[in-house]
Amino acid sequence: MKKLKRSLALVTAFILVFTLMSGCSDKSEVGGEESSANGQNNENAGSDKNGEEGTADSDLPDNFNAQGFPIVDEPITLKFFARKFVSHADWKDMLVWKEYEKLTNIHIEWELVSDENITERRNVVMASGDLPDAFHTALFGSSHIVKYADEGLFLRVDDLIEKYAPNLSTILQDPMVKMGLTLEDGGIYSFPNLVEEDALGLRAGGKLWYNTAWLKTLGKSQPINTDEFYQLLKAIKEGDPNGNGKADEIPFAPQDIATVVNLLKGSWGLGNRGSSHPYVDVNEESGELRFIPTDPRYKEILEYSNMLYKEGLIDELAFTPDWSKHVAQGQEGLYGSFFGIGPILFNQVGNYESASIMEGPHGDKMWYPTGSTIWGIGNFVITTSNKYPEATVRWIDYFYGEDGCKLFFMGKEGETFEVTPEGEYEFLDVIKNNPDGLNLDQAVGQFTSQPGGGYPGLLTNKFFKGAEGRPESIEGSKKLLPYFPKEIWPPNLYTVEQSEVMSSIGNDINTYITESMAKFIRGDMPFSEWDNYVAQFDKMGLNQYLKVYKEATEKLFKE
Amino acid sequence: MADKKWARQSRGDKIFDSVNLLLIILVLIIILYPLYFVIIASFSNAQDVVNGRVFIGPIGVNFEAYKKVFAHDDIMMGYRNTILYTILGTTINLIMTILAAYPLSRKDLKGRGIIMAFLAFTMFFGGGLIPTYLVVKRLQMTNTIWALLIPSAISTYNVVIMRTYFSTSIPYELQEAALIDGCSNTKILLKIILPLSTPIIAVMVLFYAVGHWNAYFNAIIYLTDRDKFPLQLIIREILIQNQTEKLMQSGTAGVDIESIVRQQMVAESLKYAVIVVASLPMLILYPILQKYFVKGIMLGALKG
Amino acid sequence: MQNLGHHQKKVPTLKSRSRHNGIVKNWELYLLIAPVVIWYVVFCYTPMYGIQIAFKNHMASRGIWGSPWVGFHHFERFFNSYYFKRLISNTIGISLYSLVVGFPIPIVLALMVNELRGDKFKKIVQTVTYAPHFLSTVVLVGMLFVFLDPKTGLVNAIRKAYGKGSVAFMLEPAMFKSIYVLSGVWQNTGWNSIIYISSLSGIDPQLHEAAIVDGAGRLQRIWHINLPGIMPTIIILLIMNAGSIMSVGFEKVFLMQNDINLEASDVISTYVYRSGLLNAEYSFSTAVGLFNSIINFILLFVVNKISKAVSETSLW
Repeated sequence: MKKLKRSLALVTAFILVFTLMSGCSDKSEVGGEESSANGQNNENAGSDKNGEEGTADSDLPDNFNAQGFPIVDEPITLKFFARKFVSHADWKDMLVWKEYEKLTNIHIEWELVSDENITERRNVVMASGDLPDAFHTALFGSSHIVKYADEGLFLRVDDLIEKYAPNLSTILQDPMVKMGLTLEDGGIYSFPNLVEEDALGLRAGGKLWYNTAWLKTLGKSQPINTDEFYQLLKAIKEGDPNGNGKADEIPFAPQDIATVVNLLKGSWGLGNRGSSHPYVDVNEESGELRFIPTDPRYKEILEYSNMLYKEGLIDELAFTPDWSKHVAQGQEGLYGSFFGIGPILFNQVGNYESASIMEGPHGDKMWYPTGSTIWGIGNFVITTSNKYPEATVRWIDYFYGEDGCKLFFMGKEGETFEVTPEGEYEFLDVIKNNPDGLNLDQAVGQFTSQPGGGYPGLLTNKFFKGAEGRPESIEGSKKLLPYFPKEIWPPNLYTVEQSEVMSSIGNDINTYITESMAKFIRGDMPFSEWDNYVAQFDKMGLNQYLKVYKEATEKLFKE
Repeated sequence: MADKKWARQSRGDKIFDSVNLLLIILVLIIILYPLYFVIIASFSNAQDVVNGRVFIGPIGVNFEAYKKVFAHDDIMMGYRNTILYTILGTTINLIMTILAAYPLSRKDLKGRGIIMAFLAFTMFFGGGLIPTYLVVKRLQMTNTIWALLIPSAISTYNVVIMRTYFSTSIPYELQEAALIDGCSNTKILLKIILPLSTPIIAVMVLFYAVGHWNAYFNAIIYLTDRDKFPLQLIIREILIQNQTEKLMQSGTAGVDIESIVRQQMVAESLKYAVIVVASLPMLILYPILQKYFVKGIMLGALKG
Repeated sequence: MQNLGHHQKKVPTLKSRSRHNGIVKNWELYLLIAPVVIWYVVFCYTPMYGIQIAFKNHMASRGIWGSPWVGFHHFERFFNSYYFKRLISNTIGISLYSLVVGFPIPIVLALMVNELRGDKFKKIVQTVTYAPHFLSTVVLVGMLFVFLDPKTGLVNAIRKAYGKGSVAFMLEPAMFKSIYVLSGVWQNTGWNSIIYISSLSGIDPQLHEAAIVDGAGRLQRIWHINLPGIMPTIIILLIMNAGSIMSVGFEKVFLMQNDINLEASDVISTYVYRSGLLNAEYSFSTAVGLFNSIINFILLFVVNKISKAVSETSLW
């Protein structure tokens, strides 16, 4: 009897096991099928992966207004996955989203995940088939966009943009922007974070700044070439400009060591396609791609930097980057010069002035750290599970136009901002000097999800109130404008195969570049090793790397 | 027990005790100083801490950090949740681990090697996050408290430790004798094994409770309702560190350096206070459990 | 499997029964362990099909079963990496260093604490030594940076007081492993000693009484009674530690890494993070994880076998 009971128990267990096992395997397939099934069940064929069929006008969905507000007559609810920055309130309580819902009649159910947790959560969401209608500020990199577009999880939207997104369509008339957003199959699968061309403060956000008082004390004017820069740093180190008898001045404080090189690249004529391409630019004479880290001029930059380091002119902190310490030191006024978005970061506005361009030993005067107008590619994506793609496209397009920017960055007039007599947009005191003691980010983060960045939208001079929008930053960028590279390339968009090369070989190469850069500058690797260093790149597969790079930038050459 | 013997101890033993004491005090100092630092840093001025001026005593004494931490309503919510998860979870853990460890400790259990290997294999090989997530989803546990308690119900490592304890500290002869007397296996477990195992049970409670207290990963994966978030998840939001550094360096997502740096400075000023607040309950737990580390009932008394 | 120390006498065992009866006799034991087995099947073995993703190119839309097969492609990518040797060497180096230094110390501490008289003091010592375990990695590494800072750190201040120069500890590749391991020892010794302390309390006090009567001193008693008494625990923990040689965690190394010390600090987990996880290359990270698991498992198997032959304690 006991034996029988036991065998029965075992048999039941086995059956259970097999059901679960096959259940699991079915589930993952079903999960995959479900997401594409949703796409196919949609009457709006716009959700099909290829987006080719059924975008004829006769398929205009009911309950949808192609123009004007509200976007839908009967309210609908969309589920969005978004990243909640630490200074944000709950998004459902934010003024921006409440106001916009009134305008559009679309209710958003926000699934919020914080920075620390977002990578894992996103991976699970993508892999398990439980897709939201869209991802907003989800910190996707461009390789993610390509990958998930390829897998049919992200919706192709270029046709929809043409039809229903007037604001974005206008911006897409710029070929560089369009190319930066278009995947190999000719489709656009995401919505970007853009900077307007004239927002100089933002496009050359990181700049060199000099301590004004110390320049005066030492009787020096701003350096106009790299020799004078070296002389100035030396004078700061030896001259005790803060007059306290201690040599505690830090002549030059980059926040990390790569910044030193980035500052100097332009003075040696390297990096002529902008800051989205730190390691590869174009040799103007031959018209071919040039690999910067093995170029003889790059070696000169490293030698110059090594000289600066040996004489104690570069902040040691650069080798163990630590933002908190960098800011804490800055707040004590210890920097003779620094590279960054501005003295506002250290509460030292007025004590620092922006630098002019420095000419290098070969007569080059270029400002390499200039960004393209595309700051991010995947800031908003519509998934193929979305049943209202037209409405969603209209929903996001608002934020690429003036009204949307105003709402998103500034909020509501009279409640969060006012317009000064000069026509400037300023935050009200309740934001700038919050009565509850919230700092600026936290105060702004109560009404909008703008703090922390990563959002889909357009950064403009008019409405962006961050450091890069401040007068001293804009003025500094204006000084550098004549030296911006002639052509600024958007970041590369790699295909899935190319992505793999970049994340395997490319990753090894990147590691070697940054590791060696730090070692050469610090003196841990002597320059006698230069040839050996160059030779290593070939061993790593530099050929393949450059081949992929060439393929990815092919379209940019044609322009 | 050693107390009674103190008077009778030899000189050699007294020397031993003194040296032992000295070494222990040395260890205490080495361990204590950084802990002391955490405490004084938690009510010092953040800038002074970062710039390395805080050594002996706090500088710029203020309780701003603690005020801010407690002002965060979510901290209290996280605390409540974590206490619930810890108590419930540890209970489940304990039951499952005992159910596993006891049979495995019996050398007369046929197939014991196979079962042990079956369990140990899972310490190395697993399907990974996504398939596990799908199982949990299938069982409809996502976004529930059970997703935090059931998939982590057993730690093979702990099973092994408990099994080792059972087989070394409780003589098999005792159990054999009980079996001959007609005692059932279950009764042996309840009446003999468990009462003699208070030390290992105390250890397991500690291990599992601390595990639950510090847990966050499953919460990230399975919970979407904010009001279910455990304490560590809330803390991770405040102490932004990893992710944002990487974002700023990778520069692909258009992040706003200024606001991130500003929040990092806030985090810097809070981090020590947050740690103190988050760890205190666990630090109190140990002294409470510590008295169980002494064997409860004399072996001899049971032999009757 | 039992090893109760030198003073126990062997008790004659019962006559062996037939295997058939053996299983039936202990049916309750099987019942007790049944829910456990079911749990393992549901939560550990059913998801195991996911391992195959190491041999495929994971496509979320096709699920794990439907993703295309690529064989050993991901493994080759890992082995062919320019840094492969360095990663393996750093990972194993850190693990072995941790083991050699960090394994014995908690044992010694447990033995020492066990000898303390005065329960209150004992409690204080134990609570203090196990407190560091609760510091988050972020705070621990933050403190390392503060204490080891070349300009403002405590350690360099002491060095200067003795007339020595300042050292940038966190930058020196040669120092990385030591700082990593020693700070780990500081943090976890107390916690790791708990299991030994509880094992020590499982030792029959009559053994000690008998030894005292025989005139044995403290050290002798520790060596001949305490140590053998917890030896099975020690061996089991050693075996299990051997089985995690390839598993050097990500967070602490990542926070301590910088370009200058990378040659000593880049380990498998940080490499996979940069090369795979950032781009959601799930297959690649699974493949590397599988490789690690296989090495770990082989090591554990070997060590377990040795242990079985040499002592009577083993995992299975």
